[in-house]
Order: sequence, then structure tokens, then C-alpha cells
Amino acid sequence: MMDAVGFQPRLTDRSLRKVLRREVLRFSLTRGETGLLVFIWSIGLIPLVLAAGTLLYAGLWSGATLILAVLSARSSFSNHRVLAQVISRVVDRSLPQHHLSNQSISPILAKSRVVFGEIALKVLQVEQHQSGDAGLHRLVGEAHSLLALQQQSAVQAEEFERALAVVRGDSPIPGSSRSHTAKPNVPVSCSTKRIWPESGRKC
Amino acid sequence: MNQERVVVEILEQLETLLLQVVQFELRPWNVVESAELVRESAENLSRLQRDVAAREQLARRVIAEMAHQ
Repeated sequence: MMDAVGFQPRLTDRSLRKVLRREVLRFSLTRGETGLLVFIWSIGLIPLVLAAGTLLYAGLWSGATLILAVLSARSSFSNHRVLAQVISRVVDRSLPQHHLSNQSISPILAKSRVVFGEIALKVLQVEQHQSGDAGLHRLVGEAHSLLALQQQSAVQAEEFERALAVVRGDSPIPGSSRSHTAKPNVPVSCSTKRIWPESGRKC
Repeated sequence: MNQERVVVEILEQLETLLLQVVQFELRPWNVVESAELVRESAENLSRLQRDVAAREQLARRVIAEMAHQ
């Protein structure tokens, strides 16, 4: 039960860069200008092949579109907005979001993901612009571990609370806070209060 | 250490880290400073991991105690 989240594989600077290349290209093809160029190329190819009947025009058309597509894809790699979106997707994939019933925790977890995205982006930018190894690349791994730890902690605590609620005879309702009306039928150890002092349980 | 405190503390650590990285972007980097930043970050992570592991162990013990009652 407590290992529901476990230790997630750490996203390092190297693995992030590797995934980013692939993801930015995919993003550029599916949502960016490169995708639009591929669409225009395919539309333009039909009349060129059918009407002109020669492959020369089709080849020239394909070459010109390919150059534009490469330029467009390259610009995506330095586009702050695209990188931010792609990093956010990579983080969501590396750390799947859990639905927590504690409504005050969820926004904090969401904000942490945004902050991590900014850290990763800044580290990439700093290392791009400054020659030499500043050692900052290790921060991406550390920050990702912090993020994983935060989620692990939140999920474990919630699962523990849920287990306690079941044992004490409360009826846990998924997605809502626990009932406070049910009386405990099992004595709760003082240790519980040491873990979550705010729970207000009496020893 | 309660759940919300750990979660908030990690958010604060991440925010501090972000501000420190932004500082590196704004001025020429210094090898000593960057090494210090990485070291501090690793130490904080290690401390928080120990806290969370200790709390998890305690939670397991509580559940085990309750299961035997």
C-alpha cells in the first residue's frame, strides 16, 4: 500500500535532452508550422504530379517544402513556449498525476510541476548560452527527484489516512473529505499523531 | 513532519532552486557557486528523502500495531 508510488525513474538532464529532441519534433509536426507545411506539401503535390505530369516539379516542390520544414522544426527547438509545453508533457509522463482528495495539496503539486518545468528550461538555456560545464545539469535530476518525493509523500499520506479511516470505521468517500461523525471503534496509536499532528487524534 | 508541510517545503525548495538558476542566467557563472548550489540541492533532497522514509516507516509500524490490536 505504501509503495503505491515508489521511486520513479529519475529524469536527468541527459534523458530530458534526449526525449526533448524527439518530442519537440513530434510537437512541431503535429501542432506546429512543420505539420502545416507537410499538409501544404501533400496538397500541392497532387496537382503538380497529375497536371504537370512530371516528377521534376514535384521534386522541386518537395525540396523547397523540406527546406522550410527543417527551418521551422529547428526554430521550434529554441521556442520557449514550445519547449515549456513539451517539458510539461514529459514531466506528466514521467510522473503520472494522482487524484488526491485533499484539495489543498493538489494545487501545490501542480505548481511544483510548473516550477520544475521552468527550472529544466532555465538550465537548458543557461547551458546553451554559457560555454563550459557549470554543473547545473545535475540540478534537473535533483529537482525531478524532489518532485517525485513530493508526490510520493502526498500519496502515501493520503493512503495512510484512508487506511486509518477504514480501520476506525469511518466511511471514506472517494473524492471527498473523511466523515468526522463516525466514532472510532479501534484505538489509534499515539504514533499516528506523531506522523500527522494536525489530524487532532487523541492518544 | 506532516503531509502538507513536506509538500510545501518541497515547493519552496523548487522555487528557491528556480531563483538561483535564474541568477545564473543573469550574470556570469562561477564554478564554485554552481558547485555549491548543486551540493546544497543534493543535501536538501537527501534530508527530505530521509524525512519521508522515516515517516513511511512510522506509518507502517502504526498500521502493524493496529492490525495486531
